[in-house]
Parts: sequence; C-alpha cells; structure tokens
Amino acid sequence: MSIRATLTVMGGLPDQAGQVFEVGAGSTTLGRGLNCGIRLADRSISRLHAEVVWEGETLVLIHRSQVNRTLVNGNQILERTPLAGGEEIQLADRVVLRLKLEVEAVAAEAASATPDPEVDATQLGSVEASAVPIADSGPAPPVAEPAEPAPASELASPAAPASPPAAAAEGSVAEPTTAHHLRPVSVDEPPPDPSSINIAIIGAGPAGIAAGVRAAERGLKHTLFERSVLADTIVKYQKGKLVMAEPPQLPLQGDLKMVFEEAVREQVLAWWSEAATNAGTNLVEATEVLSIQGEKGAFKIEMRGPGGAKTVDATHIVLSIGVQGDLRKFGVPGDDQPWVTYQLDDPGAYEDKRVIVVGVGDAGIENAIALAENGNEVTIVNRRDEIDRAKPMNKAAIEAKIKTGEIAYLTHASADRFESDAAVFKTKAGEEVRLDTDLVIGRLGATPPRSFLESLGVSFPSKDKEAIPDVSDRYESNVPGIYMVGALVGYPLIKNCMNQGFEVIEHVLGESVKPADEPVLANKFVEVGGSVSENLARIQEAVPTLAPLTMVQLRQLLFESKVRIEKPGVVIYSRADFDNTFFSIIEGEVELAYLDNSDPTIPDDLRTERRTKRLAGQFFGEDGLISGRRRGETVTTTQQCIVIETPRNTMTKLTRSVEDVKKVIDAAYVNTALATLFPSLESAARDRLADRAETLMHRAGEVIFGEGDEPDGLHLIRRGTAEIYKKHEGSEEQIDSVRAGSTIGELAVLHPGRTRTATAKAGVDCETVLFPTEIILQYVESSREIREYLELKEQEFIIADARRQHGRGTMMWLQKAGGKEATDLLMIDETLCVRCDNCEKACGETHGGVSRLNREAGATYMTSAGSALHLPTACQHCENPKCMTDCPPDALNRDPNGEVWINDETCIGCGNCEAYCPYDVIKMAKVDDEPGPGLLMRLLFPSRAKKKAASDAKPAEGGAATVKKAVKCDLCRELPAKKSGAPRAACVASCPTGAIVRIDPGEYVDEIYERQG
Amino acid sequence: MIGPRTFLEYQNYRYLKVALSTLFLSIVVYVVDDPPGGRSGSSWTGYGLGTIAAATIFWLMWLGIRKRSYSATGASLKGWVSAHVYLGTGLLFLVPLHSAFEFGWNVHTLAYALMCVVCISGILGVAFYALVPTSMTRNRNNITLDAMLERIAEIDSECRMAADGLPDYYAHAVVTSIDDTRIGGTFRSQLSGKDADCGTSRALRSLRTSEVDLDDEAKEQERKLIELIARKELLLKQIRRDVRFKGLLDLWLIVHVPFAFATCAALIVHIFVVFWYH
Ligand code: HEM
Ligand code: HEM
Repeated sequence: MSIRATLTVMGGLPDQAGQVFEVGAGSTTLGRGLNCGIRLADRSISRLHAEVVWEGETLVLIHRSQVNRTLVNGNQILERTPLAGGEEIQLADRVVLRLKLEVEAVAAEAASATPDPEVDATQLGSVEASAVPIADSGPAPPVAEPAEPAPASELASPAAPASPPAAAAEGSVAEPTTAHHLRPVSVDEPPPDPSSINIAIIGAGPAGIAAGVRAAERGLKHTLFERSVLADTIVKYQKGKLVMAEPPQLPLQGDLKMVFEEAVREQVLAWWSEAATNAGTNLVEATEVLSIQGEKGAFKIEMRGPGGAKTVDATHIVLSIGVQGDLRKFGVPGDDQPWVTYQLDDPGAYEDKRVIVVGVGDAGIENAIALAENGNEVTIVNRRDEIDRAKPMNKAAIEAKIKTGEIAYLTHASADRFESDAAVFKTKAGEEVRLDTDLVIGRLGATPPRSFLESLGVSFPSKDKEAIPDVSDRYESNVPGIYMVGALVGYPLIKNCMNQGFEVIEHVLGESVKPADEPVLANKFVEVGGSVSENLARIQEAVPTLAPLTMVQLRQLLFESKVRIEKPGVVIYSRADFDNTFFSIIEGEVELAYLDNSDPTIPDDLRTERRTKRLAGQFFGEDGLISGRRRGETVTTTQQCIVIETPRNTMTKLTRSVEDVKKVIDAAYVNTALATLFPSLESAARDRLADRAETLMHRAGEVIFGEGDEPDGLHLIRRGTAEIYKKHEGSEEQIDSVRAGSTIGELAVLHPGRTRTATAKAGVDCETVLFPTEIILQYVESSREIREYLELKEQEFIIADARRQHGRGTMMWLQKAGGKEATDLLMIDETLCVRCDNCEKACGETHGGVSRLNREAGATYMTSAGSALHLPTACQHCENPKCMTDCPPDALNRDPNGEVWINDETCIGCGNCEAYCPYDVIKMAKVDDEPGPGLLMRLLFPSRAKKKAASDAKPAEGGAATVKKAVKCDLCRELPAKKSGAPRAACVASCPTGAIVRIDPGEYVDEIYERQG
Repeated sequence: MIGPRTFLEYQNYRYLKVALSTLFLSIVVYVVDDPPGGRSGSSWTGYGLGTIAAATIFWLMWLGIRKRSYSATGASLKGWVSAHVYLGTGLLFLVPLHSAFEFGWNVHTLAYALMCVVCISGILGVAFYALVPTSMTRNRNNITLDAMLERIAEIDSECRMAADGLPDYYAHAVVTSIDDTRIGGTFRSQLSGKDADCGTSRALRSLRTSEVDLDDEAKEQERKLIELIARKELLLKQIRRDVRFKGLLDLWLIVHVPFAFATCAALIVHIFVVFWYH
C-alpha cells in the first residue's frame, strides 16, 4: 500500500492550466528552474521555489525561495508545513496548485506504467528536465510564436528550403578561393526598415540577454530563445560565488540597460532577469534549436520546446550560444526513457538504486564514485578498455573501486537500446549485455558548437579544433543575416559579451555604434598621438601580418597589447628570457642577436653570435609564440621604435582564427630556425627549404618515426619535447629527450638508404617541421655546413646513447613522474628529509595560509647507490604550460625566468587552469590576504594559530561572498630575489637539513647518474 | 654538484672549522693565561669564555625563531642548523674551560648539566636525522601514508564483503579487526612500533585456528578472508613502523627544546648569582 500524491495546476499558468504532476518518492522540487521536479514556467516564480518531501507517511512542504512567497490555504509559509491533502498551494502571487493524496495499491500501478515503484518517473524528473506530466491539458505550448510572420518570410518558398551550404554560396560571399576571401565583409547596405525586423536571439547568456534587452528597448520584434534557463552558466555556479567583472578597464556600453559589476551570483542573476523583465524582452526558455533554414530576411528555425517541435520565422539571427556545446546523447532506441539522463546534479538524491554511468571521463567517474559512496549499486561502462581521458586522481580512484568490486565495470561496450526496465549494451565482440537499471547517466562529452555552425554554412578558418569562426565588423558571419557574438567568436568575458550583444542589435538596425573600448585604446595611443581610428588604419597599413584582421579583431588585439615607444639602444628582451610576448614593429628598426647553433657540441657560452635586422612592418618574438621556450635571441632597438607587444595567448587565438597570420609567422619561424642552424645558408636557400617544409602535429605519445622505418626526412621540433627510444635486448628504452629548437632524425638523412636507428615519440603534444629527405639530401651534398651539422648530431646521439645506458631506467622514471616538460623541478632528497613539513608550513605562511606544495605526494626514485630522490607534487613551471591554455582574463603569466604565476587580482576563479593542469598542482582555494598570526602568536599558541588559518580557508557558508581563486606555486614572487637574481623559494630556504632543492630537470638526470657512480 | 648535501657538509664544513678554531683559541688562551688566584670562572679569561658561551647559547635559542620566519632573507635554514650543531657541540668543551674544570653541587653546575642534556639530545637528534629518513623511505616503498590508510579502509570493506554469508564467527573476527585496530596511540606505543593487543592480529589468529565446519565454497571464502586480513596485518606493520620512525624524528626535540629553556633559566640565575656574591 502506498500514498499517491499529485499536484494539479489550478490557476496562474494559462499554458499549464489543468496539468497534473505526480509527486515522487523522497523529495520533489517546485520552481521555474530546469532542474526542478515540477517545472512551473512563470516568471513570478523562483527558480527553486519550494520542495515537497516525504517524511515517512507525511508529505511536508518546504519553502525555498529567497524572494517570493509560498502560501498554503492563504497562510504564508516561512519554513515548512506538513500537508494533509486537499490544500491549495500558492506560489508567489498568481500560481495555485492543488494537492491530492490518495491511498492506492502499488502493484497495479507498477505493472502498468512505471518500471520500478521505487524509482518512478517523477523522481527521475528531478534529474531530467521536468516531471512527466500525467495529463497535459495545457492548450498552448509556451513558445511565443511570432503573431504575424513578417511578409518577407511568407514569401520564402517553403517548397525548396535551400540546404545551408548552398545558402551560403548563394549569398553575397565571394567564391572560396583563399581563406582571406572567405572572410565575412561588411557590405554597406541601406538600413532595414525596423518594423520589418524580427530577430531571433539564440542563447540567453550575457550576450544574448544584452541583445534581447537592447532589441526590446529599440522596439524590435524579437525572441530570445534559451535551451535551459536565463544565464544558465551562472545559475549553475555554487551559491554565493562571486562573479568577477574582468577586464577592469573595459567599460560597458553606456546605453545598455543591464547592470553588471563584480557581485555574488544571486545579485547578478537578479540584475539580469530584472533587465530582461523591465525591457520587456521576449524570453522563451527550455527551447532548443534544431536547425536553421532559409536566408537573411526569411529564416525558418526549427526548435523543440516543452510543447514539442515547431518552426518559427526570423529575419535576422543572433547566435550567442557560447562554446560549451550540446551534451552528447545516446541516440539509440529507447533513449527517451525518463530514466536515461545526461546530468547528475545531486548524487545525494539517490540511494539503493541500480545506476549505470556510461563514459569514463572525469564527469562520469566523479558521478559513479559519488553514487557508489551513497549506497547505490553502480556500473560504469567504457567504450574501450583504457581509462585515459580522466585526471590521474580520478583514474586511480575509479580503478580502486572497480578492483574492490564496489563499482561494476563493463568494457568495450556501448549502449545498444533501452528497454522498459533495462539497458542493453553491445560489446566489441558482438555480445549483448542486459542490465536491469533504475537510472542511466550518459556522460558522453559534449559536441562543440562547430558542427552545428557548419550545418548553417558558417565557415571556419582552419581545421584546428579550436578555430574560431570569423565575423565581420558588424558581427555578421559569412552567412548573411546570421550574427554571432560572445564566447562563440572568442570573447568569453562577460563584459565583452554584453557589449557585443548591445552592439549587434545596433548593427542589425544599420546604426553605427562607438565600441566600448574606445577610451582604453585612446589611452594606449596617447604617447603616439593621433586618434584611435587613424592609428588603427596606420597599423593595418604598416604591418602586413595584421592587415587581414577585422576591425573587431584588431581592436581586441590592441586592447590586450601594449604600445611601446622605445629609444634607440634599448634591449627589448634578452636571450634565455622566458617571456613569450609577440612584437609587431610599426615604426623603426631592431636588431636580433642569436647564437650560432650549427655545432651542437659547443657549449652555449662559447658560441658565436649572429645578427640580423627586422624593420617596420615586420615582427619578432615568433619563437616564443610557437615553442614557448626561452628566448633564442636578444633584441635591441637601433632606431626610435614603436612596437606593439602582444601576449602569447592573444596571438595564439588570433592564429587560430586568421589562417594568413599563422602562415606568415610559421614561415618566419622556419626561416629563423634555419638561420641559426646553418648560418651560411643563403636566404634564398632558406626560403626554398621553408617553402617545402611541412608542419606536423603529434599528440602526446604518438610515434614521430619508428626504429626501422624508411626515413621521411629531417624533423625540426618547433614545440614540445620528443623522446628518443632505442631497443635494448628486446625492450624499448629511452635514451634521450629532445626539446623544441633542435632537430631529430639526422642519421637517416646522413646515410641515405639506412632505416631509422631509433624511435622518436612525442613526449607531450608536439609540433615538428619536416624537411623531406630528397630536399635535405641536395643540401647535404652541396653544403659542407649542413653535412657537418648532421655529423655532429650523430656524434651527440652516440654519446647520449652510451651515457643513458649507464643510467637505465632513471630517464624513463623521470619522464613518467612528470618531469618531461618541467623547467623547474622541486626535488627532495629523502635520505635527508626529516619529514618536519617545514617546507609546507613555509609555503603556507608565505601564501595566505594555503600551501601549494604537497610534500608527501609524488613519486620517489630509489637509486642503486641508496639515494632516494622524491618529486613532491608542486608546480614544475612547464615549458608549454597547459594551465595557460584558456584563462579568460589572462590571469596566468609567465616571467622571463620561466616562472608561471597566477595574478590573484584578476583571477575570476573559473577553474579552467585547474582542469587543464595534468599534474594536479593547481588548487582552488580561498586565499587569506591578511598577514596571518604573528610569529609570537605562532610560537606561543601554535594550535590556535593553525585553527585560525584553517577556518579562514574554509569557504563561508551560504550567501556570503566567497570566491575561490586558483593557487599554485609562484616561486615566492613576493619574496625578494636572492643576490644571484634567482628566485627565493620559502620551502627551500626553510628546510633545516637542506633536503629540498629546486633544479633544472636536465641537471636532475645528471645528478642521478652521479649518485649511481 | 647541484644535488642536496647534508647540513653537516654546509659550505664545506664552514661551521665545523669555526667551532674548532674557537675551541683551539680558547684552549690556547686558557693554557697561556695564569691569572692570580688560579684559573677559574671568575678570572678575566673565565669571564671572557663564559660570555662567549652565554652568547652562543642565546644565539642557539634563536634558531627556534629563525625556523619560523619563513620569509627571512639571510642564510638558508640549512646553514643555520649547520652552525647550530657545530657551535652547540663546541659548548660542551668551552664551558669546562670557562669554569676551569671546577664543578660542584650548585646552580652553576646545574646550568652546565642542563646544557649537557640539551647538547646530547641534539647529537642524538643529528644521529636520527642521519639514519631514520633512509629507513623510512625504504619502509614507505613509494606509497604515501594516506594511501596506506586508504588501502586499509579498502581491505576493511573487502573483508566485510568476503565475510558475507559465512558463520558469525567470521563476522566477529572481521569486526574485531575493524574496530579494535588502533594506529598511533600513546607516544610510547607509537615509538614501540607494535601493538600487542592489535585487533587485526587477534582476528588473524582466531581465523587461522577456526574450527568451524565449512563447505567447499565457504572454504574458498575463508581462504580469501584470511588472505585479506593477513595483508592488512602486513600493512599495519608497515604503518606502525612508519609512525615509529616519525616518532624517532620528533622524540629528541621533545627533550631538546624544554631543556634548552631550562638551561637558559639556570644560566640567567648563574650569572645573577656570580655577580651578586662578588
Ligand atoms: C656571561 C657569562 C658568564 C659569566 C660572567 C660567568 C661567570 C662565572 C664565575 C664568576 C664563576 C666562578 C664562580 C665561583 O667560582 O664561585 C663561574 C663558574 C662556573 N660557570 Fe660561569 N659564567 C658565565 C657563563 C657560564 C655558562 C654559559 C655556563 C654553562 C652553562 C657556566 C657554567 C659555570 C660553571 C659550571 C662554573 C663552575 C661552578 C663551580 O665552581 O662549581 N658559566 N662562572
Ligand atoms: C645549549 C645548547 C643548545 C640549545 C640552547 C639549543 C636550542 C635549540 C632550539 C631552541 C632549537 C629549535 C627547536 C624547534 O623550535 O623546533 C634547536 C633545534 C635543534 N638543535 Fe639545538 N640547541 C643546543 C645544542 C644543540 C646541539 C649540541 C646540537 C647537535 C649536535 C643541536 C641540534 C639541533 C638540531 C638538529 C635542531 C633541529 C633543527 C630542526 O629540525 O629544526 N642543538 N636547538
């Protein structure tokens, strides 16, 4: 026997009137939010408004909203109240639900519809989008269909909807001859009649909302469609999280009626929904766009919302969908079962259930572990048998649980179909595995928006998976009428998004609008003189590499760059510096002095220096851009110069979106590299070689060439590290690792006809420039210099081989332990370490109470001579720091000495770097800016002082503003450098026995050899 | 040479040399000087040597502060410890020179006695520092303490599963092993590295001597259970050894520091007393 509870919509929701919701076991949430068990689509209702919970046999109503009321039979509920059945529950001011409780037999019900009485559909609803309506008598779906379609869209022939690529070709875009020509251009056309405009804005993030607000204000017909809820990304933030407003110097468009500044999540959400409401933005949530057909003036958008699939018309489309993409779905029969989901918000909501998690990425593993720990019977399913896409910690954790049998593991299997109460998987061998289940969570990753965009005919500048689609100065894509703004086109920061959302509406109207960054740029040109537009024009004219940029791109580049005026004789940077900005010369001339690399056996300090000039319109610093290595040259101005100094990330982003820029820079890189290797080679010969060279990408672990292979040519490593292996007694052993700037594969070129004598693998993600054998061979014969170089490299290889044999194993160990991309390793000699943890204390004390070093964790290498060298878990300041890949506010920096540090002023706490770091050395923590208890306090009351630090580090509960920022080793920036100029590390300086040292990884290997005698 | 070298070798034994030459000079002065009234702490040489000794002691005390000044910029802590160890040991010989080898049952000799305890505990500490870390690393065998504890928790849950379906006798053994196993405890039991009354050892004994009749399938289960508990016992031994080593590394400081403070107190009294009576 059990009690069946239902809630019927009585009033306040015309679209859902009469709809009956079943209240499931456990707790069911009510509100406007997408994750609510009972979704009530009314703006007056809070996202999480209230909750009904079974406590034994009684149903209890709990009020959850912070701003709106809940009433039961007219009495306001402040916290909770038990329900007896028959009550009228009023949410906010309008919506009224009636509760019905009936006693009934379970068996009959279970047999008829729900697979398992324990997990009925409604409960699963708290994970899925909404509870399953039992009887949907709602007349109209809540999607606002344009009342009167614009005449233009009626004219569009519905019989032959042009396929998207064809539409692109039909448009005003020129033939696709070169990447350059494909660039969208702003064609001056007469401004459209505002009354004919009907804009569909897709994606209600900051950019979408701003566009919606502006469109409403301008009195345009518009609809803002959102897949889930308004500002979904921010909704998903944890309660009370601070939303940062970066970059600080960028103002918002003055006329935009939407407030934003640094504030807690709740405040930001309140501002934005207020802005949308006040402006009268026509927002349609929970509606997903499936496809877009037609052309400017007559688009037909097919979408699916709560009321089912439908098609709406639009004259213009603004895409502000961000870059997260769509969660991948199973796409197999039965995947519409209510217990098949793709998200898990609260693992605590499940207990004693049979759950299948599909996918062994971080998300899948974390879900599986959390569910298993909550007493569910969990099976995790892997399409292959390796767990290789997860973080090492997650991998270890799941493997442990699989080993103990706490989590069942199914490999080589993929979902085949879902039946009424079971999931069927097919293994690689073709067998069917049937698993009875209550819940399936698909963690299949996300499809980036690219394929969707391509289906619309939007072109991308390159195959690079991070390529960003182009837009014109008016944010119009190559498909006329489709505009794109925000993160989608490379602007992930909220302020940029909002400004672009505003501007794009003005552009649709054909109005000119002053970019928000105008005062910032004006400020950069103060010393140079002239207006911003004059200067921008001058730059595009003077610097060919920057000519193909759109104004939007150029402005962004300058926004992030420094404009420097330098007197003659100034050193811009020096050889071996670790910074990696990129310089474009607007005016003047500089001299590059680099070392002759033609003889690898000569030590660096004995090599001769060579010089070359770079003139106005040219650039320098491309080596750092490409390889991320130390600077190879010293650059000195020879005349008064104006240069633009651009951060590496900005430049990398640019090369991804503008193919022409990439080509020019790549060619310059090869040319310079050849010049340093073969100084006497004529520049014509270098150009010829560069022309025939091919850039290859290798993923970490991939073989660049294998022992015994036919040689393909000489490889110049331009990025990353290659590991050289040789077979010894049947097993492969690593003999060397070669870093960017050097060549590999010389032997086979030197001795034509021979096969490869060793295997080269990419140690980390790698790029090499391949000079094909036949070309190199011509030069081997004609140029003594090249021949000598290759012979010297051969000698070096033989020496390395002999030497490495000696220290077998150590090299491999170091590589495995993660030293392969380190520029600075923290190493502890465990035979000296007395485990006093003074290093961790020192680190914590110098960094606001949070130690960035975990002494005990990490690998230890025992040498045969009895030494034990330990690499604690701490930042190694990688050569190509992965953490720097995607920092929205560019808060990660690299100093000339190689140190990678996080600027905690600008860090927005997004956690990207933490996710990117393969070594788990970045933590998100609340940093205590106060100096901490004084020395005397610490001496007298060590335990109390510690407790204070601990409680400070704990995030404050509830709504208080907390922002966790990324922290990691910064080589103690705040401490003064040592007399030698080397950074002073508190951990090293505070070791009583001198067990801990910072070293260069190359020296580390030497150290091991030495210890082994 | 870039690898770490011990604090004893710091700057090529700089402070050993300093300590030895100070001692040598002191002996020379002591031997050469023949004050009226005989050699004693109250001769000028005695005053001089006493002052040097007292200054050294206060400087040695300063290490406790230097160790916690994490942003200090001077020499590394390693250098400080190196000097501390050599100069501290030197005191053992310097003070007798100061007192002209006169000792008695008085506060002066009390100060010296306390200082000897401090120095000897320090020397012991240096010995532990030299020997224990290597054994500790060996014992750890590349596993962190946390990982070992986690593994124990894993074994516990595996045991529970393995005992499922077996007679109560086994469940009892598993519960004994889980509930009655302690790591750490008093300082003494930490240092012993053993636990005579360890629940896991008892459980293992009771399992090995089990006389319950079992069918084949249950026998297999029993075997698995015994293997698990035996593995847990081994791990426990390893952990207790680790705890013991850590204890050894801390133990001597527990003597060293309080006695250092006592030495200072006695020393101050000593200085007061000698000026009071003279
Ligand atoms: C400012 C430093 C010091 C001064 C001025 C000083 C002074 C003296 C004097 C005047 C005496 C002779 C007392 C007598 O014969 O009755 C003496 C004896 C002695 N002092 Fe010091 N002293 C100093 C530091 C130390 C230190 C650091 C120690 C050791 C911890 C020490 C241990 C002794 C001992 C053991 C005696 C011999 C007591 C005896 O005759 O039984 N003194 N000192
Ligand atoms: C009168 C003589 C001495 C005094 C007053 C003294 C005082 C101290 C003090 C205050 C500390 C700081 C402990 C802490 O705060 O953790 C310390 C540490 C230490 N002392 Fe002494 N000490 C003396 C002699 C010696 C001698 C003779 C040795 C060795 C031969 C020695 C070896 C050490 C060592 C190894 C440390 C530990 C350093 C560390 O691990 O941080 N001390 N001593």
